[in-house]
Amino acid sequence: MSIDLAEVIKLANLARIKLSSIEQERLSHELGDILNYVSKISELTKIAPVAKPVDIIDSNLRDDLVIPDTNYQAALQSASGFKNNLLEVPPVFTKEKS
Amino acid sequence: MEIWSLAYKDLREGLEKGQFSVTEVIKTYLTHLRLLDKKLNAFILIAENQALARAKELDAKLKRGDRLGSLFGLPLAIKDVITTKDLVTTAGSKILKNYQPSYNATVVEKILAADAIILGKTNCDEFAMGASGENSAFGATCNPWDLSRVPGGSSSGSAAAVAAGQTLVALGTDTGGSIRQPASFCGVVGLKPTYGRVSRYGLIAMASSFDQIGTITRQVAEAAQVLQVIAGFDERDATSQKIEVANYHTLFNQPIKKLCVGIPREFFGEGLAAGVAEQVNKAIAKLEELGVRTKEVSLSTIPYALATYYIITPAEVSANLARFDGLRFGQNHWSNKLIDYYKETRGEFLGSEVKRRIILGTYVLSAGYYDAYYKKALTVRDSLKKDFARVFKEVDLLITPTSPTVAFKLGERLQDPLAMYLADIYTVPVNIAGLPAISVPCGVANNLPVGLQFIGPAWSESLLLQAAYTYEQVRGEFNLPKV
Repeated sequence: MSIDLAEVIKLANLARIKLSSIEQERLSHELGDILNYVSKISELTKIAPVAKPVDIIDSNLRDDLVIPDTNYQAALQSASGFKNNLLEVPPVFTKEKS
Repeated sequence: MEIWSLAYKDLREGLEKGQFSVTEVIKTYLTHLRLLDKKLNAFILIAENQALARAKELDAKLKRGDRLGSLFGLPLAIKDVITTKDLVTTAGSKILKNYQPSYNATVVEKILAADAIILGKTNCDEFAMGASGENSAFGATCNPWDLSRVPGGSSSGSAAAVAAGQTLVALGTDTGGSIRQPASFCGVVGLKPTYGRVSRYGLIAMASSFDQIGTITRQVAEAAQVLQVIAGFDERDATSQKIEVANYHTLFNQPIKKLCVGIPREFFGEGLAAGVAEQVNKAIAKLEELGVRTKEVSLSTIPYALATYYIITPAEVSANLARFDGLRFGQNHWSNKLIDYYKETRGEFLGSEVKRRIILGTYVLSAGYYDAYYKKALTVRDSLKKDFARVFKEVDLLITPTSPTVAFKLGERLQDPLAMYLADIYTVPVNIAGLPAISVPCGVANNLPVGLQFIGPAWSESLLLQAAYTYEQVRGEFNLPKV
């Protein structure tokens, strides 16, 4: 089993990962093998659906208060670009050349 | 006897009696660590200056007659997915090659408060994804029993370092077996606590509903001592639980009365290597000689556990690793458009297994596949939990092999992801159900160690440690390899 290249490219785009053509080719086979294996869970037909995916114990939730923790200036030391107290990022939109 | 081969109990006694200083201990460990690491590559970072400075502080503390922490002078290494304020934390990834966290993980704060000493950060599969240690961006770690073999993963460096005597204790993390499987491959003790027993604050998340920090030690006693320190509720991790922490360090060596152990038949079928089965069956026979009652049990959903794991964890991985975009931390590849910046950065600096899991997770969460894969897997997870709850009404603990095989050759499974995933087949069910488990060495097959896994109900760490200690005593000395 394999999944087609167009699907791999679509997934990589959704996951924001640039893949080389060799990686795309390899993943189409590997993902196919893995999906083929994990599809065995469909054999289990007599199990009840779960009401909630994760058990959350309400008592563990903190009060809705702001508590100073990590110093944001220290945290931002790791950022690639930092200017005027803001993160420096490339533009979200660019003018397309006509 | 070399200082680095002493058990913590003896090391502590020697320190308190003034037979050697903390500085001498740390210097000896660092020399041994450096020498062996040329062969093993178990460490990503050796914290020599910090460790020696801290040793000096602890020597002064001892001299002053101050109260000593429960891990006083304990040489300890930390898997590099756990954040350390003063030490670069890479998660075994190129994308975090120079990442300097601005905070310590809760477990780090706790072990430092107990007077342990951090020797360095250990190598691991990138973002803890792997069963061999080969997925690290900083090179594979070798198994101290046979340098041509893998140490297991993903806590590869932690297990190899403890087995080789580079450190006395290491912290690891276990999402699907990443403490127990390498502990089994390296002949050391690996403890994965109940999900919620130890705070995950500061653990770089792989799959948040599975990840748990635990210990890799030479002996069960050391696992009990370190767990005592790291366990407990933490308000910074809402999934840690307000459940009383027992006195593991005084309970672990208490005799157990009327123990009934289940032997789940699904763990002894096809795929289990004959040499591993032989050692595990011998261990079970030894426990029976002590009066432990055994009973064959069945967990019918176990054959679906690995499939369930490889649907839910990639889904969580795809969400958790979205934060590695190169903007706020980590390496980046500049581009003139934001979307290209993300794609180029993640394409260049994430490794192949990480990309594979992110894309697999994206697939199982995408429209059209969500119900068939992710939602279905959640129902199987629920059934598996119920299956375990049912057998724990009949028996106190379960015993299984930790891994179906002994350590395999470096490179042997690298081109076949599915074969690599199968290395975790006996460990993932525990994480799916959030249970505690411990792997203890039980013999050797083909000159390589075999691990025996004890699985307990949630919050049964005391009983697990007692059972593992009882077995450790009847098994006798387990010699570690000479590298």
